[in-house]
Amino acid sequence: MVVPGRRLAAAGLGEEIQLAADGSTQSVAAPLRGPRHAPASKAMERRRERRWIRAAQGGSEEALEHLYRRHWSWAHRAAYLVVHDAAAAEDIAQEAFLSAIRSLDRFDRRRPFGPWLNRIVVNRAIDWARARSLRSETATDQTRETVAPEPISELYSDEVVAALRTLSPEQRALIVLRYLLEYTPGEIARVLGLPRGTVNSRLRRGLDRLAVEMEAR
Amino acid sequence: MAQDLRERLREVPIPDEHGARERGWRVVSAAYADRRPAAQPVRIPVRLAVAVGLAALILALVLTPAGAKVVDLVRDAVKPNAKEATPLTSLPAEGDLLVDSSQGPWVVHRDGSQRLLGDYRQASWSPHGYFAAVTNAHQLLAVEPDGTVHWSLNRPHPSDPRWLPNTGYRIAYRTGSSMRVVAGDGTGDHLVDPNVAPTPPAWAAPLPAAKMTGGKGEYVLALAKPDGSVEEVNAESGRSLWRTAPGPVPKVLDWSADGSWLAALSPTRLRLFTAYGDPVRTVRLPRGMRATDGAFARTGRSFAVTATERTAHGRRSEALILPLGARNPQPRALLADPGTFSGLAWSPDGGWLLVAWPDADAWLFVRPEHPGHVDTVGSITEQFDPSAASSGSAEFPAPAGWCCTVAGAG
Repeated sequence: MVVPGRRLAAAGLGEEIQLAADGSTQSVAAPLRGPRHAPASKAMERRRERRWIRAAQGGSEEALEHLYRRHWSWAHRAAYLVVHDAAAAEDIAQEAFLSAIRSLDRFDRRRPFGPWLNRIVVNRAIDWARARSLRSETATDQTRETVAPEPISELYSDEVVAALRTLSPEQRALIVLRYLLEYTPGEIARVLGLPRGTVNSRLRRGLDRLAVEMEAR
Repeated sequence: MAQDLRERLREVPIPDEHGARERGWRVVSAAYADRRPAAQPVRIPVRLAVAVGLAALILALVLTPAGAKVVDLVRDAVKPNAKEATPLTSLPAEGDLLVDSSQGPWVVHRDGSQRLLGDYRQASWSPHGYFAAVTNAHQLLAVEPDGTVHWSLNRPHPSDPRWLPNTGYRIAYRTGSSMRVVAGDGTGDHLVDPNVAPTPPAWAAPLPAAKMTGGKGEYVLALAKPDGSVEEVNAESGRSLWRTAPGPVPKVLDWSADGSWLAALSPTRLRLFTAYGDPVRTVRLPRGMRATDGAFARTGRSFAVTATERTAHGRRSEALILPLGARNPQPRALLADPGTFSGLAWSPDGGWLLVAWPDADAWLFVRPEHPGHVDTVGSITEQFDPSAASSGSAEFPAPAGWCCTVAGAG
């Protein structure tokens, strides 16, 4: 897994190194691999996460920080890819974590933390994106400026983002769940409360549209 | 397609991703501290329970009057684990701090007492803190820490005086685009280079002796040229010893304490050279960030940088430690806050880093080895320039050096 700009080149004599905006605090919890690990690794990961949850329930801020560092990047990225607004994505990810903290004492440690968190993130992101599109449709000229999507600077432009923008929020969420978070269609169906067949067909349509858009760019 | 898409989704750059994560952690940890944990089945000794209860009560009273307010506060500025801003009543480490303010340079002692040196600007410590080199519109002066003028030299618009380390036998300074050098007693002033960039010079550290003195007891000085190259010159004759390739004009030139590396910090990158001018590496700052100040740590193997970037919500800044000795340097963020970090200074023992934060009218004292520990000192402008603070016209007091490594020596 490569977090953008994070990877630093080997620093030999006279070499040039680009420090990434997020490269300063790589922690044990940073998601350097995808959310799906090899079975043995995944089991270890689950055990470790259960320990963190138990400790966090008992008041350990350190354990909470492990959980946070482990899951923030995925949650934030998922939100961003659905809403395409950095500030909103930050708020959504924060709110999801705050919601998780409020429910922490009731959380069943046998369940994985990530899907629980990402379910909140993705559903909130869809709600936010829907609300924004509604506001945009009804905005007057005077208010449009305040509800328009945050312009993406040249620095941050990316064709996959641009292609995703052409999809509906629900389709973006499906793509994000399937290809960023690597959920199965069955898991996605549970997260979004949709029939599995609907997930499959919408995924297919979303992917086709995305392929066309990306090819056109 | 699927694999390609997977990779691309993971590589989409997110604006201010790192900042968002750190802000998020502050909010989340504050909310966590504010939460009431579920009752634990463990029996807790009564005295411990009382102590913990009292501590929690104090924390709740001091830190978290209301969850939402805490979240707002944390988001706005306050540092993780930072104490409430207090006046500057003492320094956290040994040594005397030199501060440039609109009233003039101040000397702040460890016990918090402070003295205005006079109507000068751009102060710089002598190697052991016996004197400070200061300037005004037409003079370079050496003054004692009590303000007594030791000597003065009339020159037009002198700036950026820098004292030769260890012996203090020379002072380099700029006048306009010229670099000049004068002896530590104010005699022998002479031109070294008529065409330099507006960058403070850096005397080569005394080790290894043969190289640093050019092998003949010479004093050598690193200076920046208008094309962004860095040149080392003999401070007596002006003879060039080496010169690097052109690059961005550095804001800061700094030698590591052992004299083995020279750092040239420009707004977007840090270039590192050997004592012979050979490039070691170039470290580019994170995209969008522009360095405001920087200095080698005492160890000489890491470099502290303050940098600022524009975001959708205004400016934000970070204080970073770049571990230059590592083959793959991972920058370490010590602080990240809204606004601008305008300058920094290492404590003489290297244990503390002072970061100036004008937007909060504060100085932040952080321990790089214990980055959660931040002492926030507030009302800085009022403390160093009360009249200007009330009129809002004051320049923010900037740390100009924290002296000295060898107490009483010198």
